[in-house]
Amino acid sequence: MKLISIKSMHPTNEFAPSWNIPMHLSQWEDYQSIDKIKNFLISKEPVLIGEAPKLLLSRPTGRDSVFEYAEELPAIDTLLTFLRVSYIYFIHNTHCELRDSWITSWYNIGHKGQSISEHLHDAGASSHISANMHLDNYKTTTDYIIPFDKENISPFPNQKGNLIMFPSYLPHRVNEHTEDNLRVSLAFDITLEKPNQHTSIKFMDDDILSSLDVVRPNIQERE
Amino acid sequence: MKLIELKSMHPDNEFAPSWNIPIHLSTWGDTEKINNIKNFLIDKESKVIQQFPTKQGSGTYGDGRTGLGLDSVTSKSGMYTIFDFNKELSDFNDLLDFMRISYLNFLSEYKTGVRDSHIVCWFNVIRSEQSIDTHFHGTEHRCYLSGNMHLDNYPTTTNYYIPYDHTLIHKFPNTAGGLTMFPTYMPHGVDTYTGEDVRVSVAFDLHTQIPQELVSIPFINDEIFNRLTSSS
Repeated sequence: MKLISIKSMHPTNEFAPSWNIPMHLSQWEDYQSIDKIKNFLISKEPVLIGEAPKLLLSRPTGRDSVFEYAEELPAIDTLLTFLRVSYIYFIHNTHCELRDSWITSWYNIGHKGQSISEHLHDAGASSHISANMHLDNYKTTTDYIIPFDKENISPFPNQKGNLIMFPSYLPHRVNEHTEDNLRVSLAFDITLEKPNQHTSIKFMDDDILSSLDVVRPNIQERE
Repeated sequence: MKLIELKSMHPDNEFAPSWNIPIHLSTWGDTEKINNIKNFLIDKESKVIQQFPTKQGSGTYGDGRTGLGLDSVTSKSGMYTIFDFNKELSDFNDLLDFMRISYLNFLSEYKTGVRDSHIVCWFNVIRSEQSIDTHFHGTEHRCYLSGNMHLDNYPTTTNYYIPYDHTLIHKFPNTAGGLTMFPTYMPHGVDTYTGEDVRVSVAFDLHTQIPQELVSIPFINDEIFNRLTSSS
């Protein structure tokens, strides 16, 4: 697990921009489960989006979230636990308070020649943390863009099982997928209030926290 | 004179963005001098374009990301300063002093200190059906303040975008003598111009250090500050 801070240089005057953007990298090493999830989601795509195999983004509207598929594929529950533990470390390493939260999740399938344009998930006052994980090693990078400076770009390679968490306001994009295989990634929004417009599941609360085998100082304080 | 602060809502948590961006509005009321300057700059446009070379190797950024092109007068920004035209039209001196006083008022209202600074100043001319793409003047840690003034009443607005969320847009009408000052990092653009006449505006960047590769003149220093404050 690794905390990265993308920082501006110290501003020399009161009108210059400054930023300090935390990002958290972690690696899920259960590659067997990753393969199962990838193949499962690829098999689900035609069901979810009909006969439109070239559609880039597939949001699983037929289910409440990716995690609802845990009934069919237990590996998804294992993934959820990994996400929760990574989130706890991110919150701890940034010296923030762990709070109850919800998660919205979906998956993206990219075909050869497709890219994902620059976008952000939420820049509102209630926005919190977003994340993505790639389900194989791909030649693409996810490029994170400083809001103040569109030419200031931090590319991260899209590697199997690599989870990147970042503030939801951070713009990002993916360059063109040039391989013949399908590029499959998971995406998440973690919010501190249950979102009204998207389906979600509880991500963190006291019961979930106590069920996880994680002990960190901020958790002890919370208890 | 009016200080506007574009503020975010108070963030609910440590990872939500927040901003408080000051923008200062003022109006130069000397319509005769504004008109003189406008007509002077319209005459000057082709001469400036011919006099200065096309920026090499800078691609689309040679026009300051405005989309106006490398053959526009905007693309010559930084190669000259409009205040050197004061030898031909003394009204430019009055414009410069108005900008300086507006700057001092901005900082006073914003409750921050005056800094010695230099100004890089150029002009833009656009015609019917042209627009100015969303762009910013700088985002480095040394960047300071920028501004613009329109030299007539135009049916356009300059649109300022919150860096964190470009769907949040603040539109300011382009009126004769209207001066807007804002942090240099602030993205802004202009809608398509539909008027019949040419649309003329003046734009500038203030630098707290002398910009080495750009033509600039002193904007504020002790001597200028004392002259302005003793005369007011």
